[in-house]
Amino acid sequence: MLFLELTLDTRNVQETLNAVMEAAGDDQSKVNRRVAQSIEVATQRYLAEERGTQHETATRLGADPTHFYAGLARFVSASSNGDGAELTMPRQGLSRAFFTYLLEPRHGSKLLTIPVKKESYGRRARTFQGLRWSKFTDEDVAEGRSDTAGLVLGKPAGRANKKKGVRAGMFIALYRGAKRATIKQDRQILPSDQEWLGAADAGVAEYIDELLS
Amino acid sequence: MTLTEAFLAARGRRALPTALSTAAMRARFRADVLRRSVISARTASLPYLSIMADVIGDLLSTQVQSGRSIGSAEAHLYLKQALEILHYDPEQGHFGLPADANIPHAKKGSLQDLSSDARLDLIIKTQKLLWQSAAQNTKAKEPERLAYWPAWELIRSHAREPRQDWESRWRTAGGELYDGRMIAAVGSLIWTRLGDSGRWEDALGTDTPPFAFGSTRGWIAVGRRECIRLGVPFPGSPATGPQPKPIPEPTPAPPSNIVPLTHDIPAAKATLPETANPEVAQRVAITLQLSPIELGMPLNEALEKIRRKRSAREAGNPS
Repeated sequence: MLFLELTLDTRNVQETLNAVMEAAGDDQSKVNRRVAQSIEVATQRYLAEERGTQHETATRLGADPTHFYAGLARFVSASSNGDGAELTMPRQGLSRAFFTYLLEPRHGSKLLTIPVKKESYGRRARTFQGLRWSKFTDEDVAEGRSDTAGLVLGKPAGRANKKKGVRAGMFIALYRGAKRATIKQDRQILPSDQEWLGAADAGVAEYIDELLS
Repeated sequence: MTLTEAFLAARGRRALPTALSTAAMRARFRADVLRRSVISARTASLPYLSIMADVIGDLLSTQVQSGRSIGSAEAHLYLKQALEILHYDPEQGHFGLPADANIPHAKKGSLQDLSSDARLDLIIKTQKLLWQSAAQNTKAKEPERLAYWPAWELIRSHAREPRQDWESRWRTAGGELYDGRMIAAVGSLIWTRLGDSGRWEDALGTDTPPFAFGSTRGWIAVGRRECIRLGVPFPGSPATGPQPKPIPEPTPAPPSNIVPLTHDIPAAKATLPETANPEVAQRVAITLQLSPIELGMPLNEALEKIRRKRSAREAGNPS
């Protein structure tokens, strides 16, 4: 869960804003509400339009993208008070915009399962049936016993597929096992500070515009 | 309706076991009955529908009672395991209930197989999108918000093979394109028509995305200024005159008399694994320095205009 506390620095515009708010009988909370809504919608649009992702892993594996970030758009919501606004993103994954974090297995699992094939990308290992853990060396791979070295989760191929270089009975890995994985910070998955500023300015403009229209 | 309220409403639906197909359900039940029910074509098992209601509710909730939230993958897994526990077999009489005698056997892995990945994904995706969109729509109809965000834009699909007929459906529903974008006022009849199952066989009978089975379309709010710039009509726009009025919301789903899951099949609940990770709350503070304000007229003139409007409003004459 990511909370973004947005403070508006109004020094540039305080005199004008104060005069406008006084004339309208409003206080800062009304302006902040407009800013919060504007930033909420800008963030939803950024995520929904997938502006911050190139689907690198899906492309590398030849899989269909999961559209993970686009799916998070609906969960973004903003609130405001007299001091500022807060954008709440109650889903895991978005904090990556600001932090590098270590992902570790929980709830009794010993290993993370990291997809290595397009079939397993975007799918939980538990949704497959009959998978088992095996450990293979580079030599095993060279001799055709497995298609992937290391501690892997998968199952033996039923039949040979010459085109794909698969022998009958060869172990086909769907996931790699890992005790932990580092999720590197990627600021681009959320709008930049400049884009949020643009949305904040638009919120103020909406407020003024309604008073003058 | 917030997402949490959507979750509660989703939870509050009554399970309606039926052997009917989608088309037959539409013919038999009124739309409001379908909206208030947890229902799935050719699914006659009440315990399974109860689990489905629970799982969809958990999926929509940002934090369930146990302090965790679940994602689509967990929801998929839970439903699959529930079907296993209930000895579901699409090729051997489904759940083995008397009502299942009226349901044709289904090929394993087909969309008619309740345990197939395709069927489970379709249910989870559709339910998630429907309830999230309904929550968005209710929030959008709050008068204070509607004044500033008066329209929705139907945004692009993330489907593997997006259907190509949305633009023609949009036009058939009476929609216009603005700069190539499908935008219409919040509460417009266009949204109702877009999901009208009388017009399109695959429509879901709702006025919120995804509108049709298998669709992944969503919508995003469009601001008042942008609507004016693009010429999108909305209540209260310079072109249409009157101020926006609150749009009445359909009566929310009544509290459920659904049998609690734990009373139905305790074994199922106990066997479901805990796979979701607890959320870790993290805070980031950002300061945004606002840019100079454009009034479009001298400050004194603007202030005078604002004061006049305020006086008129306080005197009960908003014009």
